[in-house]
Amino acid sequence: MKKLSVLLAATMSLSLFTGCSQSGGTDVYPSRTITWISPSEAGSLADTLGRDASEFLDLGGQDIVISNLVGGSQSVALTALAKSDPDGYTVGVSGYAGLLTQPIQQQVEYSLEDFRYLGCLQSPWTSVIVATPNSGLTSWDDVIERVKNGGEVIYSTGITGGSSHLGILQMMQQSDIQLKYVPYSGTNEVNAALEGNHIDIAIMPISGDNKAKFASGQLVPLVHFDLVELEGSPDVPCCSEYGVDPANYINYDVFCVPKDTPDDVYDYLKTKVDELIQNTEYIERRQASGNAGYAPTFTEEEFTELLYNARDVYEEISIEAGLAK
Amino acid sequence: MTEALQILFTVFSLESLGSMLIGVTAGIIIGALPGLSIIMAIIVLLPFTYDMNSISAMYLLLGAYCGGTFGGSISAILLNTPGTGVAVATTFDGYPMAKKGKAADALKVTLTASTFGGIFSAFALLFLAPLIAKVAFVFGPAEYFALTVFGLSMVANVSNGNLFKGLIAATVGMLVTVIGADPIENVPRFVFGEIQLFSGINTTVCMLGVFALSEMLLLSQKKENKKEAIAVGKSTLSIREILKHSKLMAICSAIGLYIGAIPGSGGDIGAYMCYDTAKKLSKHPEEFGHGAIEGVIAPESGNNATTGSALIPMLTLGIPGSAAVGVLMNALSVHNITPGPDLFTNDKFWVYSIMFGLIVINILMFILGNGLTKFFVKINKVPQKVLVPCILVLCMLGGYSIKTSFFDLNLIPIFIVLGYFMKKIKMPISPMALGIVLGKLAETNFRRALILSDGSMSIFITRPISAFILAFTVYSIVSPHVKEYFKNKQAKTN
Repeated sequence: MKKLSVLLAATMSLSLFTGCSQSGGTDVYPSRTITWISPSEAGSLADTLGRDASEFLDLGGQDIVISNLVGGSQSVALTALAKSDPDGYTVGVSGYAGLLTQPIQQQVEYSLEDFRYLGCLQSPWTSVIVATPNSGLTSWDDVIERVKNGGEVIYSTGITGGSSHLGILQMMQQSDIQLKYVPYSGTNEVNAALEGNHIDIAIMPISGDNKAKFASGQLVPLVHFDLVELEGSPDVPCCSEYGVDPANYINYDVFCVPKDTPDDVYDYLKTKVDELIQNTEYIERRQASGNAGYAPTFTEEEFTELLYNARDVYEEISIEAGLAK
Repeated sequence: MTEALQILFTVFSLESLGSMLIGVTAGIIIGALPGLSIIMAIIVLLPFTYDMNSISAMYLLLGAYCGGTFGGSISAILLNTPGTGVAVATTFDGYPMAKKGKAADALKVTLTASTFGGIFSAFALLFLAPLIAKVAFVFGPAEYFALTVFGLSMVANVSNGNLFKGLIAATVGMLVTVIGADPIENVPRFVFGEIQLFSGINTTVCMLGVFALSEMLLLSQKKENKKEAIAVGKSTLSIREILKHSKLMAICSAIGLYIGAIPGSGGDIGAYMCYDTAKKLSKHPEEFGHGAIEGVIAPESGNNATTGSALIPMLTLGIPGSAAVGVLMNALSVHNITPGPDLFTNDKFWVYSIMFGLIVINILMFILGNGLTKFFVKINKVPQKVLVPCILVLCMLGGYSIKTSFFDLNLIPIFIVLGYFMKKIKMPISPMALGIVLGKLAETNFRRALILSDGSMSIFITRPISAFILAFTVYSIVSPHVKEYFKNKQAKTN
């Protein structure tokens, strides 16, 4: 039993020891290593956002260390960021899942008000509703007609309660129809379910792979949620034609810092992030690794307002769909 | 003809062979380290591919993928610690073989069966890809659920004669998968307000504690007895002797091939199904669990056969068959390769170079594996006082690296204690692994199927494939008892 205690103690000590962090610094910002909190697994597509940024961002020659805090649909990373010292040495990035849907649908220890926003990049998750060729559905109007005539349309999304799910729920709300929802986990599962004709329609990211499927007729795009027309499929209508504002569904990867970050530190970081997202080399790198490259420049007030508006819409739909906490 | 020659030149170019060799070596080594997954092997090599041409890049990553699938069985055999999830079934007979002093034999059998399975699936990829893809997608929620029921019926086979304890262990495993967000409604279950538990407990973290570290704990409590240590020696089996089981290898490779092509299933389920099939086909099923050579051949040929078939849905339809293949697909986007039906018409040269390359990768895996296993087998010569802390550190690093999460590290001791006490009361661990692997898949697909059928259970028997699998499951559970009944009756009559 003694050896059991010793081994367990060693295991615990090892795990606690490795959790120690460094501290210290001087008054001039930035004067030490900056931690970049990434909510995704190291090496994943989303994680490359931070890794590429650390290469292109010049923060006074200071190193940027990526800290991958994965879990809870990005909320683990955002909880850590909200609780970190607001000194500019901890910067985070998150998608809409962590920033918007988690605080509405789950018990988390932060809200939108806990952060200041430095800038954003369009994530690869801007959505499009697609149908299988076998479903016989070629437009959203077909979907409405089938359901209103007593037919059934089965749909799915990769994340229950995610922003794209809320997007299709709002489309249903605006069109006054009910579709049958079969949840799948992740876009690969949804793709497989579409291919096997186990579902009729799905809301999917507008990615290079999916654009190729539209071109080959493997999938039929019905409605997109972007501000620009769907590349290669210009006739596909925007969700705005059905009373849904696409601005709420353009998913951004958002760069943020804790809310009490001083103005001088914030301004320094904001300038650097603005430079980063306008850096063509960085954007090309993002596009080459399969990410969207669109990088709008917002002021802090503009972007905060955009997020708050989206939150109001998400909250209303989540409550109606029984998804709110 | 010219194109075929070009493909051959590409596959056997120095750059291609170099990429394959590095990939396979890295894959075997990373796969053999407990907790480090096949995905990690691919991710580690991913940055090196950015400046390579797309074919060499794929050879490097596919080498790691195939090597990692084989590598996971090395620690499964030598330490009763599956290096990767797909190697769990290999522990059932691989470790008992090693304990009998046949570690080198077990590794040779593993390598041969893995190579057989890998080459079998590479040929299937070359000739049958579109056909297999078409059949694989027929699997919907009802069929998936039926498949998991079949998998779970294996509890009886891996309970070491104590079905009651085996069922408890499987239930514990399934309960572990219940922790976290509900897969259908996204409602948190048993998270006790801890946001880190929202995504559930990582399977590898659980396996590291229950399988690997609890074993180390038991080992550390034993007084080191050199006579008891697993004998290390040269293999007494020749390749020809192993290939006498080529019929079983072919059957299991065919099972693995089909299971691997179904998106979301993967090598672990394939390995369990093959083990079960081998036991049913064997003339000596009582030897299973005690070091039966067929018990090693079956899961290894099965799980390696999934390597090629998991590429089928990706190459033909742009849908990855497993998480590891998903990472491969992301890597392709860097090289502007978009998998899907168009690839076969627009870039035939690329597709066939990859398919043919996969055969060569498996041959290289055999050659390299032979050398590396001779090195790995020496692990049993390492004294316990050195081995135990080394494995402890490796497992903790492995547990941390999955999500770079300290929270996961702190969960490991809970599973060490659980595994330790299960072993102390002689509760079999393998059924728990089955529960962990199949629990979530079973629950999710059961509920999805019921949504589709508006709550009617008839969906499981009205869909032909689902009904067939369930009927086969019932047959495989009942038939041994019926046979035994008639055997006893005949004996009484005589």
